[in-house]
This record gives sequence, C-alpha cells and structure tokens, in this order.
Amino acid sequence: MSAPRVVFAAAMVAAAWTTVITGLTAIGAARAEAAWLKSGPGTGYAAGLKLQTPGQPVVDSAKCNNGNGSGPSATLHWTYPTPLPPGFELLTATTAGGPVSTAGTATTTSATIPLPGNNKVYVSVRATAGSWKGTRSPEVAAC
Amino acid sequence: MKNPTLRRVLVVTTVVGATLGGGIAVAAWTSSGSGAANAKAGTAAAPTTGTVPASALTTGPLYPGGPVGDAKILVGNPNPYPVKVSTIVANGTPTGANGTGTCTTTGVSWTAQSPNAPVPAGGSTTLTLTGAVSMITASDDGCQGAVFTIPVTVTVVSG
Repeated sequence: MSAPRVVFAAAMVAAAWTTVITGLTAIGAARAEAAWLKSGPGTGYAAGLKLQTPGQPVVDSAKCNNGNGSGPSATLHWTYPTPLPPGFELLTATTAGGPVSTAGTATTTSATIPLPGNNKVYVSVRATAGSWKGTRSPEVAAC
Repeated sequence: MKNPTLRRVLVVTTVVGATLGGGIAVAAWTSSGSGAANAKAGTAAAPTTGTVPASALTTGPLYPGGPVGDAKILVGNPNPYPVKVSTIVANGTPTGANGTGTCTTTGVSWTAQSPNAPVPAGGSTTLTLTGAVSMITASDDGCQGAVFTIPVTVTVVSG
C-alpha cells in the first residue's frame, strides 16, 4: 500500500470519528434544551423557639451566714419541659416581687448562686436563648 | 482488489461509516424526543406554594445567634406531568407573626436551596429544608415562638 493511500485512509477514519463526536455533542445539546425551567413566587415557613416558663425553684441547700460570714450561697433546682432551652438565667431580688438582678446562669436545671449581702433573697429563674429571655418563674425565698 | 492492505482499510472505513449512520439515526430519534419536551415547556405553569401550619414547624426552631434552623414549604405542581424542585431562593423580607410580642425585626435569612425533590403531576409535596434558615442576634424579643413567613422564588424543572 502506497503512502498516499495510507494517508487517505487515515484521513477517512479521522473524519468519521469527528462526525461521531459532533453527533454526540448535538444529542447532549438537544437533551439540555429539553429540560425546561419554570419559576414562581412562593412562601417558606420557619418557627422561632418558644421559651417556656420554668417551674418555681427549689432550694436544695443554702449557706446563709446571717450576715456574719463570707461566701453565702444557695443551690437550687427547677423543672422545665423538654427540650431544654440553650440556657437559664437566675435572678435575685431583695424584696418579694421587687427589682431583680442577675445572680448566675446555667445550662441545666440546677445551679449554685451567691447570695448578695448575706440577706434573705428571693430567687427566680427564666429560660434564655441568645438575647431572648423568657418569662420568670415564681420566686422562692432563700435564707 | 489485489492490495490486501488497501482492502482492509476500505473495509474498516465502511464499517465505521455504517456505525456512524446508526449513530446519527439514534441521535435524530433522541432529538425528536427532546423536541416533544420543548413543546410541553411552551404550556408549562409556574409552581405554586401553600400554607404550612404552625403545628408542622416542629424541628430546628430559630433563636438569635443560634444554629441554622429548618424551614418547610408546600410546593404545588399544576402541570399534568411531574416536575422536580430545582432551586428555592430568597425573594423578599421575612416577617414574623404570632410571637410573644412585637416582632418587627425578625433577623431571619434564607439560604438558597437545591432540593431536587419530585412533585407529582397535578399534586403537591411538603419539603423540609434542613438548615435553610438562620437568625442573627438582632431579632426582636417578641419573635419568641413566632411563625416566620419567608418570600421565596421556587424553580422547577421538567422530568
């Protein structure tokens, strides 16, 4: 077989494969066009966490010192429906139902907090989630 | 033909050519199928969405600065053939209602979703999109327990 004939035959084969590839590409394009898209406005929904009101705290133990010692504290626990919130904040007031200040935080349903001034305080607790704060529980007197 | 090598080359070329013919024939047939789908697209109707009751929003609630939460969307397909939900992207400012107080600043944002979820012909399906929403720290305290309504654009694809 002469060299020109070999070159001719090779060119024929190359042309054939070029046609095959072109045909397959055309098929792919046709399929892409077949899948249409359609858009429309709609509404999605999500919910915000609902913080529950903890149960009235129970004083498990208290170191009151009656104004004479240091380190007065109280250990308390309370109830909360599951699932638990991200956190709890414990609050104390020097008078029943009076202004409150933060005495501590917790991530479970028990905590030990300091008792300011060695005086009788009223302790309540509320659930927290980020900057959100739930409703305070009823108070319990410590010392 | 006296030259055996040349004869083999011609035979191979002929076979390849015949194969090509078959390939082109298949290509033409497949293209015809695609054309029919295009005809459907001409009369396609946009997807719809429906109300998801608050009682169904039971997982992944949001709170300020918390982890991403879950969203739900009820997608309807008015077309007489099935579609797939391709994308769901934000299309407006979310609002909040039925919280514990004033909920003007929700702090809620939507992350684009590509669920690729099927919706039957003439039917609907409720999608739960895990991690589709989040809440920044600046969310009104009154948004506790609120239901957030989030405008989106839903795109469906045929097939």
